[in-house]
Amino acid sequence: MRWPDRLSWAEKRIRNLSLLIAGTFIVLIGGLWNIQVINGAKYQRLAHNFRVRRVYLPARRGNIYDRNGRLLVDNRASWDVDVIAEDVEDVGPLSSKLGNLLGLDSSLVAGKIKGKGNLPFMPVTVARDIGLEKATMIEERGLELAGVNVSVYPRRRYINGEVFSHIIGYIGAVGVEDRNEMAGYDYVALEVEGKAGVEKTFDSYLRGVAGGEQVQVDSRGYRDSILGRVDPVPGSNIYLTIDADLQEALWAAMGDKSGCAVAMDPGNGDIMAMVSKPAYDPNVFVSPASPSEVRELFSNPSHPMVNRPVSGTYPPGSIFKIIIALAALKKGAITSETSYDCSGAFYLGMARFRCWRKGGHGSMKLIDAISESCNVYFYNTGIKAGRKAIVEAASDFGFGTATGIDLPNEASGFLPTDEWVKKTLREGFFPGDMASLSIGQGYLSATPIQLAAALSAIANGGTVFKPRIVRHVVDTDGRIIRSFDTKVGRKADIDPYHLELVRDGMVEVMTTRRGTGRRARVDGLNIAGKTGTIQVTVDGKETEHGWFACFAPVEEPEIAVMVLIENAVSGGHEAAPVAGAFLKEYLKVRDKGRMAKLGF
Amino acid sequence: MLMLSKRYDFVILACAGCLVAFGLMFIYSATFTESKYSPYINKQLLWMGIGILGLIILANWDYRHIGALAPFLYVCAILLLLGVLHLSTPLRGARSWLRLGQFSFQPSEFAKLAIIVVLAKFLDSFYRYRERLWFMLVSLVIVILPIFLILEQPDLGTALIFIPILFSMLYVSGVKPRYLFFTFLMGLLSLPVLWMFLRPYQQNRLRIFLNPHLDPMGLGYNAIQSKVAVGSGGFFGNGWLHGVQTQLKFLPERHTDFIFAVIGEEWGFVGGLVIIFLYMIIVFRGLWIAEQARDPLGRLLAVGIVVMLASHVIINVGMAIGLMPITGLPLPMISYGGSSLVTVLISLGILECVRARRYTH
Repeated sequence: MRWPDRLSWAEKRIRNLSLLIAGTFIVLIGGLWNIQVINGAKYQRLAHNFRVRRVYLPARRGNIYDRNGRLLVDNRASWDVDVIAEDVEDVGPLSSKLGNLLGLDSSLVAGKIKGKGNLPFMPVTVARDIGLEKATMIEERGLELAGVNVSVYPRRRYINGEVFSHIIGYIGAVGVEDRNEMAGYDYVALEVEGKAGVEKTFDSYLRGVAGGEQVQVDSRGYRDSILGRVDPVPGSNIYLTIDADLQEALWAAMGDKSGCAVAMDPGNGDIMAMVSKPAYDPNVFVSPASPSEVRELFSNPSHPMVNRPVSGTYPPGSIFKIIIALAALKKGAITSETSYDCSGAFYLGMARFRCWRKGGHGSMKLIDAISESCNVYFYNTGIKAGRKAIVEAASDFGFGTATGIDLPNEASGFLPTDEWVKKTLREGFFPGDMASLSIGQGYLSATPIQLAAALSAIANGGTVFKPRIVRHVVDTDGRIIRSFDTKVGRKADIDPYHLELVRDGMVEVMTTRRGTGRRARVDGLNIAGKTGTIQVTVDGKETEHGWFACFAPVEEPEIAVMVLIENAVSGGHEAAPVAGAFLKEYLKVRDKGRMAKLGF
Repeated sequence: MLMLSKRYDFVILACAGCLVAFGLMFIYSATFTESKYSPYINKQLLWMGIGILGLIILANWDYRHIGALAPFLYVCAILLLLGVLHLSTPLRGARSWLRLGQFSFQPSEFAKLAIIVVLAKFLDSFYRYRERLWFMLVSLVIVILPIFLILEQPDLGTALIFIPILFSMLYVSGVKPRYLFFTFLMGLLSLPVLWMFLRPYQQNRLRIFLNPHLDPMGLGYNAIQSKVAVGSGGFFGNGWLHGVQTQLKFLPERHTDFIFAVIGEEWGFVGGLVIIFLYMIIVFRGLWIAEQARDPLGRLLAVGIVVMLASHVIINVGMAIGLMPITGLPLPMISYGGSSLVTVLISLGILECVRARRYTH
């Protein structure tokens, strides 16, 4: 390629271009001079008068309803007071005024406003949840209180909070780690998330999306106009499977005892009611009267924060005899005619295992043994059936595996499987351990919800459903965005005839003179039940808990109830009456519903 | 060392260094949060590192080799621009970014430099036909395709910047001024037609430019607030980190398109003047390099790069003070943005390279 000499025309053109560019820059500099120097004062005034605040608009959290649409949780308006230090002319007098209006110590208020960690031009919350009256007072005095602002935020309201506390859970401030992610947001302190219960497991549906607003304020922080707004997106609403009337009935039936109870629909696994006592009022977390109020809940030795049906594991005790029976029947170790003699004790080599009835039950066949809960019968039966058969039958009914219920912190219970025995029990499974297992104690534990699911399977012919607690998620326009269908956990492989035998036994528990469940009888309802009593050691002390499991009506079961009462004399004594009281109420609710359907 | 300074222009590099450093200061002011930390600084430093590397590589390379790569660069640019249209996820309604893991980059930034190189190569290869009409027309065609693709994103600002670049390069390459004038006239006359093709929000931007108070709550907001911010800086400014409008975080895009508002507010007229002077030094020394270039290729590369830089500065600062409509063009080396920073640094590398080969008597 030819390399030409420097042409003067090219040079000239470049010079022309330079002139053009220089001219443009000069115009630019002129523009700067104009607005910064000539008109600088005017713009400074504008800037001073022309300030903008960003206002955070939190999203309304979704409501929670029971299965019939009764409102259980919603939001109420809460008024907060915040102050922007730079807008305040004189902190001292302002703090006194505010302090007087709010009933707060003025030096505290001043301290918050002047706080060291405060960012420039950012509002500092001085008081929360002051109520409409005080909020109106402050708004009225707006001109005197430059820099003070009252904002409305939605706050969670739990209607009848304690009764539903463990199902619904509570909310709290978003965790610190998450805060760093939200570094671009100015109002992180107001973000909440579910910490327990359905509030937690369905948090992503309930929480919605926050919005914001740009508000123009004058030099005194007084709102002039709204410059722009992004509307918050409200969270979606949740419909539970819980029937609020039944929940209240179950709560009342438990009285002031501690323990838990679950009422389930054996046809589909719906949880109709679930109570855990002692409980707590979730409203405490929204507006604590004092910081120690919350701390007390967590340090209380009776564990009110634990959701017993889901997280508590207990030995099933005599209730497990049903499973033992089924395992033995399946294996052929016993028949309905097999009988054992109970004289009050059972001997295994040198060891003596007592039956709870002094003097014994006499000669027992299966149905009697279930009805009177004879230990001796089941010591014999269990040993004949063998651990393997029992464990197999148990896991067939869902023991040892978490049910998968949509609540946090579910425990899985425990079964002494072959693997476990090999790995952990160095000397193997002793006959004594076998005896304990035969009456539902020893190396065995389950959660009340697992037991309820297994009980439902007995009631419905062998299907262990996954317990369902949420039915639908519905958006604010009323459209269902997610439905939760009935799910089968597993199908137990049992002979229907065996089930019938066992059910007959459970009916006798309720109807015969010596049946252990007689304190749960309800007129007009055919119930099948089973009692249980377990010895446990809690915090170093020995005590007894009582179980009662039942379903009704026997012919076509509509409801299955599992009750556990802690520190009880026996299952039949304390747990059965709770179920009885509940079922009485259940009849009323059911019949009211049927009348309603018929148009009465 | 002496040899080096005869080869390379360190003044340009020094000015660029100052601008990048100032850029970091202002990005910090515009973006630091509660924890006194700004995530943008780290990324900008990373891009700076990559850009400096690129600059050094290109400064030592012979620009004729780069010119030889022209067809390849053109194809790459077109592919990237097509890619971003079809493969990217829209951000605020524009498909301008491509994501690679944690990082995103803007192909249109690289496309600017690529087109400058391609155009320079073409104008140089057919130098002897520079007085012919088809010479100019083919150049227009070369540039039309990428402009069109960029307009599709849509990114009006970046598309428009090709016009001054194109015209200056054509002018310096020796096209008959008559042809240029006619083309310019045709462009002006077809503006009403082009107006039809603009999207509504782009039309609004032009309307707001003429009268920002038409919509002070919406589109005019940026324009008004930026002017107020800059103006309120006065002669000396409010001080670093103390720009009222900036710290109130009301100016959107204050770390990218509107960063000059931060400069104006915090450093005042003095600061703004210093920044503009730094750019002017780079621009005019670049034009001097163009004059001294040994061949048309070098000359045109230098002119294209210089005009690209100058146009960015003029349009961006103009926009911040209300002399130009809002376009979304970054302020070179100062606005936050990796693609722009790397492209500009590489461009300066090429400029240095042209200087290295300059004609010395």
